Amino acid sequence: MATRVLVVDDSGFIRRRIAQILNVEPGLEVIGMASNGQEAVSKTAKLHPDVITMDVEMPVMDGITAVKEIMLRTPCPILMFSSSTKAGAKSTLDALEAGAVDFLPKELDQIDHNREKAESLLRLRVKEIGRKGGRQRAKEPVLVKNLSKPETKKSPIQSRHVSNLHPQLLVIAASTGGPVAIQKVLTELPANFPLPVLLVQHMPANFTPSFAERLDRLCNIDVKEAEEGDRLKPGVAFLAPGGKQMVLKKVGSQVSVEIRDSYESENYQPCVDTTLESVAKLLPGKVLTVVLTGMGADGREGSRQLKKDGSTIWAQDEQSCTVYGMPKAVADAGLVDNVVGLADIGKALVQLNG
Amino acid sequence: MSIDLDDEILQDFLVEAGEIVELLGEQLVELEQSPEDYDLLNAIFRGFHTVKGGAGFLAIDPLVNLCHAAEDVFDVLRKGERKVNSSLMDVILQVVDIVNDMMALVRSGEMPEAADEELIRTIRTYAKPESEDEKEGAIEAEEEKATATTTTQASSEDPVEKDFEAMLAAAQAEDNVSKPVAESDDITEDEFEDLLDTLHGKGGAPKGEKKSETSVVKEPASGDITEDEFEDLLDQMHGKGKFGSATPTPTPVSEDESESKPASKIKEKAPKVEPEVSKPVKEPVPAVNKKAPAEKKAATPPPAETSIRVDTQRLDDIMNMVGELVLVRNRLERLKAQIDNENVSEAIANLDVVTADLQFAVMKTRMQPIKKVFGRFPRVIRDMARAMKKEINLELVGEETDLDKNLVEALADPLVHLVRNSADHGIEMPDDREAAGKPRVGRVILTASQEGDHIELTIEDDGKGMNADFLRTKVIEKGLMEAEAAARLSDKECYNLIFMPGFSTKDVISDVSGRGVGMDVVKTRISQMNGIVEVDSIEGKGSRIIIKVPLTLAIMPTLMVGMEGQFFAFPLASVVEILDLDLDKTNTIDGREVVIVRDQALPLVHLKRWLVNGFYQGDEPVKGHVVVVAIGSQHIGFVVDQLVGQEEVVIKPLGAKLEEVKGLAGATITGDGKIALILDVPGLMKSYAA
Repeated sequence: MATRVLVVDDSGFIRRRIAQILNVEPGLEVIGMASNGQEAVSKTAKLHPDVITMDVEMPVMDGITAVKEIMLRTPCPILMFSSSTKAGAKSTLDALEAGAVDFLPKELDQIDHNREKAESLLRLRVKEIGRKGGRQRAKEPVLVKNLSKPETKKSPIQSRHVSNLHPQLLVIAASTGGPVAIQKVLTELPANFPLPVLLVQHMPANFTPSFAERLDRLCNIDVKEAEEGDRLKPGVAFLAPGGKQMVLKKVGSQVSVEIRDSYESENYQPCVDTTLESVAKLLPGKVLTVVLTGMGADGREGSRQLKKDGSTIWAQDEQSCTVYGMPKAVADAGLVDNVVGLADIGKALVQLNG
Repeated sequence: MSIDLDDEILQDFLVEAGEIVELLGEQLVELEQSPEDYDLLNAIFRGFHTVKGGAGFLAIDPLVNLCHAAEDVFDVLRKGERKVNSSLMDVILQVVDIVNDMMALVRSGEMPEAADEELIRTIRTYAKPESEDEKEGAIEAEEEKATATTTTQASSEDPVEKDFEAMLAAAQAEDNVSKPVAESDDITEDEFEDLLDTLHGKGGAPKGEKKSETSVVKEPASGDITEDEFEDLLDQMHGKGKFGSATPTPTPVSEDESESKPASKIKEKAPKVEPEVSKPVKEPVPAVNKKAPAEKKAATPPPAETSIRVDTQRLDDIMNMVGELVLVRNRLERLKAQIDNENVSEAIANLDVVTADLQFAVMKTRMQPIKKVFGRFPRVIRDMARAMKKEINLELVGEETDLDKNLVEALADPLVHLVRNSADHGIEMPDDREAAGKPRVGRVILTASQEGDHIELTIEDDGKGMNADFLRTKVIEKGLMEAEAAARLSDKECYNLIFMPGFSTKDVISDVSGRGVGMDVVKTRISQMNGIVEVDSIEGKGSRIIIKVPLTLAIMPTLMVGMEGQFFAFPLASVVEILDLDLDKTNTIDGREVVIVRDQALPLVHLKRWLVNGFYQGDEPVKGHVVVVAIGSQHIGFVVDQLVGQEEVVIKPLGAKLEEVKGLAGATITGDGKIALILDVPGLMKSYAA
């Protein structure tokens, strides 16, 4: 049965284009369109789509408010179509926080330079988000759910186990649903968090600066978009810039960050495996990697390398994941030391190093 | 990506984006009046955002970049991080003009070029919060040094040219004379010479972008030049300023935000006609009041998907067919009388009703609200008022009035010219108004209404009005009328002299070809629509121009007359009355025959002599039917033999072979199957009247 899509955008032109692109795929069917947030809310309630594509800037009711309303009344996976402007990036992050599952840049050539490839990526993303599993997960926005439950009992991390760990570096990797998850985790860390942190989030180039700014604002620790030459520092998190790759390099005895362009073989920009593999080379056995929610399997091979030298891998649990892809990949490969609910990760990290 | 006009997707974009951009123009002018209106700022933001999005989809990068820059400005504005001011508005209005130009290019299948880098940079400075302004150095060089003395030739940095271009672009690219910033209405000879020098770059036309006329201007008779003469001069010099959107050259705006000068930047850069004096410039604030039911200020929803695109040619064809149907119905009407059959009569009566409905319905498909044309005026007035340092309030009434699409398009230029005229010649400078006991802010009221089978448009101002004697003198001066005839003109007739060909232009040698402005051209255009235009005025109080055009061009009610078995049709709209007169009591004044009716002299024309073969010299009829026709404010009586009656006819063009024949607007088939020629009365008068 085809995935049923509701297309929301105040531009008739864009609505028709998106519908045209989506309808190519037999597994997708555009069942309705809305030209503002209010219409989106009412049509969602009426038509019960499997997935909604949502614009941000609309009259009467904007996209973010619509996301909130929809998640409150008739929750549904929502894919934001965001403009890659600075304003757009901020709105996107707000939308994700409001409960949208994922986002794609509105400008097709930001998705991929090849128009046809961009269009099929779009179809793929919509389809994946609209899958049954996705819908269930979207029922309750991650944040709300985890705050209300005091202690999730999936796999509680034993504090004794944690305090035995003495990593020198923390790496957090994420994809779909990552922005919100990372925000949740990092905001729980104190300013004097003893480890340097590397963040690898699948995100387009125009969005990572805003994301870093936002995290920096909200977190006690410092967060910035990684730059060439940055030195690892405790209590500072470096976010891999979208469109590039972040690796570690050693200059003399100093370990610092290198930012480089992508190779053909690297499927994501930034690619988690790339970062992890470079980390494995320079800091064998000394890394704690946390693999959070996300589609695909990026991070598995890097984790494999890390495991060889005795580093630790945690994976987010299925229940709290927006999309249980990346964590599943590492878990299924037997590489995970601990499966943790999103609500517990922050706490566990604080307990590290005694 | 190239522009493929056949591409439905492209057309889809053009329709939607076109409407948004049109609306943006209006919204921006509104914004100047309510600069803090959050909803308006948001709507404008979304406007640029949406056009950007669509353009991005089609990879029309220049348009994307420009809209992106504008969008960023409005994001900052709507967040309250910056306030709207006039310089910002000027820049944004420029952006809209360039967006319009780019879209025009796209519509013709061309990819536009990127907007000027400098302009983008300028826009970007406005896209930062105000608090960051000091950090920016003066982005633009101090080009305000451009005075009348320095002429920069053949470089796109010519600020003078750019000013004029910007002004002209602002005053609507199509036609339009724009005035440069004149410090005062009167200019001395020297300043005038300087001006000429500057604009002509001492012999060189800049970059060949515009073809300036090497105007040969007569030395003004007196030391002072009047407004009209100055304007005409500029008409010529700006010649065919068709501001090719290919390389828009924007006006660089100096970034002196930190020195809060509300000064009009355009003013400063115009050729200094007076020595540079920093005046505290009071910004004229044109207000736009829409009396018509105000639409919600927030952007209207995008075009519903319940409409389809139809080629206007198809509608024209349908209109033609309906026309044929009307003619057949007319025939049946006539035959009805002959066939004394109740059923047939009833059927024909039915047909009559249905045909009328169909006619009306088809007419409506081609109708558009005049709002489409009215929409530009706030901007035109705003720019003019700013440039001329006048304060003008534009009121629009009856925007929703529908008229035929052809008419809307045909009226656009004349209306703009007339409105410009009111603002320019009618409304006085604020100080003068105050001295005359009037409010500083002048009013220009543009009204549209449907009056039965025609549309009435009025442009009214409360300016200084016209002086009948001054006009009288002028018409004699120009040799357009004999002194005696002029002396006999009523005041109203004097006012309407402005429509006389040759009245307004001064130039001897060169023609303002390509521009086609001038009151006489306005009148011609309106006559071509079977409409009439006239003006009335009260000196000191104001003027009013009234235009009447028929609702539709294709089907027209007429008065059918006959002479010697031939039939002619008068457009009923221009028929004032029909008289039966004793024609032996005629007088001759100025070589023309007149008859006295109600103490007024009515010029007579024996139509038979003009139009019917073999009757060019006729005996004076003793009694006759006289059809009194109004041409402007003049009445003329046409003597005809037979009055047939009123009939609604379908205007058929005469065809190429008969195009040369003057005085005829077309032909039609009468109800009894004969051919009747439809008269074009102004044309008749022009050709046949001595």
